[in-house]
Amino acid sequence: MQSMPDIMTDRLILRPHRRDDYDVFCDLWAHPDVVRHIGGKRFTAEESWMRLMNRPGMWHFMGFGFLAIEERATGRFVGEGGFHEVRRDMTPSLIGTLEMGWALLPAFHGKGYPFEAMKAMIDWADKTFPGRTMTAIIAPDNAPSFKLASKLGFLEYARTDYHGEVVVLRREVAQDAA
Amino acid sequence: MQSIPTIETERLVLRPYRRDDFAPYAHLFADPEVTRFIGGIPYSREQAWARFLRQVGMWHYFGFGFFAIQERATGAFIGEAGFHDLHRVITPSIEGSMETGWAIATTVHGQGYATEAVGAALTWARKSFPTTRKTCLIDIANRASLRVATKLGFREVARTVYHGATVVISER
Repeated sequence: MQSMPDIMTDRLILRPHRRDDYDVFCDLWAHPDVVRHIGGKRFTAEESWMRLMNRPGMWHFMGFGFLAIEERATGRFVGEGGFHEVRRDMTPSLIGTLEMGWALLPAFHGKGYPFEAMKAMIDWADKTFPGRTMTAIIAPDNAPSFKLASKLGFLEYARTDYHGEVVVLRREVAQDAA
Repeated sequence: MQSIPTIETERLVLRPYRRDDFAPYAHLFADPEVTRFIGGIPYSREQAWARFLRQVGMWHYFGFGFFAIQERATGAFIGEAGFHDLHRVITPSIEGSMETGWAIATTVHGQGYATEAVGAALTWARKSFPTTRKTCLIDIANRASLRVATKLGFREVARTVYHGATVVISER
């Protein structure tokens, strides 16, 4: 099977999910503030379990995936982020792109952690999949995520319907990239 | 990650999933006959993909999981069988057991493939996880699967309601 990386930043460790992340993973996906702009429905424990189980499969089949995000200072689970291919029934299709996503427990909001984590993931992907298009979908009223995506170089290129209206963004490959 | 074994039987190969299994996999779970007793609703491609990914995760976290089933004569992907722990919210709890499951394409039903595949998987499980309880959970209306379970030595231990369906929990 494809190995999953560990990525270290100033304040965070991005590492493969573990089975014992389950309880806090449930807390994450059952939190109304977390799911508000991601489907709108709190995950049941069974649904969170399925999601935790499918994380390694993305790495195995696609060579990319999500990682758990941990705070270095405390060792606490902060959330998760990375790239996935969800094979959504959606036009434009995102199949073949690196679709970025992230979710953090509200207790860790406001510290700039998502930027720090996702910047590190993008740097990893730039090296591992050079030239591959990175995409994201964001609910139209999710202002904080738009701000972050824009800071990471993502620009809107379509609006479409996927269980409600979503904005589709794409990150242009930097011309001056080394 | 945990490596996934390959098991040969007379007519079948149980092997790790490959990325190119996904097309027939999505087709399998889009068949209402197949999902009739597995949630009751045919899977969208996106749902089938999530399930496909999850099967690999099970091996990663537990060291057991489901196998892709290939028909030896044709090389075709015809279904899946194996073990999972789904943390189901159910009473009595089957958490910590190896819950045995299978799904076979309707085009090859009636040939004893489920019994052959699951039987081989159980032989593997007996060696690799000798002390772990093997269970299965089957909709009470799913006579074909209940028959397979009985043939393989599962005995009913409880009946309960799970997501609105009456199910039989069996143990081996």
